[in-house]
Amino acid sequence: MDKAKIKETALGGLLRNNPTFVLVLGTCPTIATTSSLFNSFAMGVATMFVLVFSNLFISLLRRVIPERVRIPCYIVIVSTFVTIVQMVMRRFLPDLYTSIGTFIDLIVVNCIILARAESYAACNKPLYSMLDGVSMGVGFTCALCLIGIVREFLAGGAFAGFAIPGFPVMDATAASVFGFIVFGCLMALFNFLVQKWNARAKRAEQSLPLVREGAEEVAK
Amino acid sequence: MIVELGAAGAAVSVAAILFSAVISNNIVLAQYQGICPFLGVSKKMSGAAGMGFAVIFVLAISSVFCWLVYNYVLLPLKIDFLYTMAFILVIASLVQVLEIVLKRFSPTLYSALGIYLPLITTNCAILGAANSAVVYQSFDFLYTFAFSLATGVGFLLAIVLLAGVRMKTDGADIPKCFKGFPITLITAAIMAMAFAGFSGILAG
Amino acid sequence: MDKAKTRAVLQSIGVLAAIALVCGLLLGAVYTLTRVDPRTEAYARFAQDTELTFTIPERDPGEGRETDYTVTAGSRTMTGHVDVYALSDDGSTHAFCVRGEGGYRGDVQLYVYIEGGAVAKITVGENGETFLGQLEASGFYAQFLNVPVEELLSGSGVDYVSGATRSSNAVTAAIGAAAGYYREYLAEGANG
Repeated sequence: MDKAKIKETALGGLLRNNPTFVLVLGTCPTIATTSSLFNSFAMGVATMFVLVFSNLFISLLRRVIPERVRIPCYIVIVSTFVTIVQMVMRRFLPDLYTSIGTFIDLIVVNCIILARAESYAACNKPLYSMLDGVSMGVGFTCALCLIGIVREFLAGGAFAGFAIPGFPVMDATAASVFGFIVFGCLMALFNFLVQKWNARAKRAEQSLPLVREGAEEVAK
Repeated sequence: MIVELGAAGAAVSVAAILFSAVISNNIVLAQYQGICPFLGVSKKMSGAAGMGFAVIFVLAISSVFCWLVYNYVLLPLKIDFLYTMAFILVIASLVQVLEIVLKRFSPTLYSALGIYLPLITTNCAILGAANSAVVYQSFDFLYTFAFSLATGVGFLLAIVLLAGVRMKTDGADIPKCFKGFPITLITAAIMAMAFAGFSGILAG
Repeated sequence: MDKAKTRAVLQSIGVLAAIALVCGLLLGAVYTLTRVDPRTEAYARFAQDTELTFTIPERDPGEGRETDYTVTAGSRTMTGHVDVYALSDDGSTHAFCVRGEGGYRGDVQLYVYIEGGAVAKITVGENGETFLGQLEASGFYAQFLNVPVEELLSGSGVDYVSGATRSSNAVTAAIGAAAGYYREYLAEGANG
């Protein structure tokens, strides 16, 4: 296996191709299910499970699936794993299912999953595809958790369900509307950091030529 | 013993379902479904209107088909746990068929809605509304149709309003890092707050 | 040329069907593994409503009994179903989870309790329509309470709430199904 490709795939989903902040895919669960850290984490892990296994199976079947019916085939495979997650969650975590169940059913239309199936799993080997699924899934989960932490803190001065003494409870901020606001502000922060980082990289480049660009070419 | 409730009872109930689907339970701003196209295709008014009408069109037809499939195929065969797979297949194939039919018979409509059709398969508002009407609330046939039509109108309303606001804010002087998606999200939040104000009408 | 095209189409359909079949079977297996006994929820509700204990028996008491009932009231004909029937552990209360067809949001679910030959309590299940609350407020359920089942089924008539006919119909159908089941299998002298 190619080391550079592994590194590229594994880190791609976390930062450079982060599904939430850079690609802006799957925004519905990002806003609707991030009212607390626990919900965000559960949603992220459920999505990651579906992503990893659908990537694996689509990649395994990539030579069998005919070009013209590929989308229905992907949909069938993805919806199978979504339904498995839904049934297992309803059986073992009924409380969680009542709060985010609607959005578990909607993982099947989460753009991240079909986008990765089409653009990565359909033309890469199974292990790379699984790694891509894990990377994208972790990137998505981290972003969701970050929003969850901020929202939970704003709404109740709490972290992961435990109240932090000395912080007031603000009911208004618990409303889902704050999903939009917190998501927007965090994305702006992300953009700000990326812009800063790019500017610094540019300045550094001017002073001494780096091999970075060349390395990326090789990786591709 | 006959108790009078007033003859307007039934009509009020239908109106309540429709009002809630369009305004107070708006699919985008209150239920947070269909946000991808809401943010992605709202840059220009024409695009937003095209997407909105395409959603109404597909939503109304697909939820009717989903209702038929659920009540006449899945339930009798006792495989209703396969509803996610069945519905998304119905929606995907319907979108393909619609594309072919429109291209063939109505080139004008195709040129207006055509480019949005492929995007609609992964619009969670469509699957979400079908799930909600057919599975979660088990509406009967006519209610399913009315509910999905109203949901589509709610989507159109939200996306057209956002496009109108975005055309105004495009030239505004905001910090560079807020340009694009972040400011759109904040705009959407303010709109959602305004829509939340309507929820008291039905509760009271 | 044409043959090749047909083959390609057939192959596409074959692959899609095969994938769908395998996925469907897999889901069927997961469904059987994760399924909860559908009676669990109803039994929990019975216990909560009556403050009595209900234990799920090995063999369902409703096995082999008719569950679909056609209920007539005046010129109206409705359909009701008995989904779950249970007898409380102390033998005093017959509990029914019943459904009536034709509400605004599909079937209306009720929990009906028959004690000493008369309807003792009625509570509203899930899928609560707005109208069910109004029916309750207007005393619609009260006309069924403490009436012996015999009398209820002798055709003394049901008073409808005008403006909520569909909901009244569904509720009547559900209660009628419970009463019909009781007379058929549980009342003294029944063949149950």
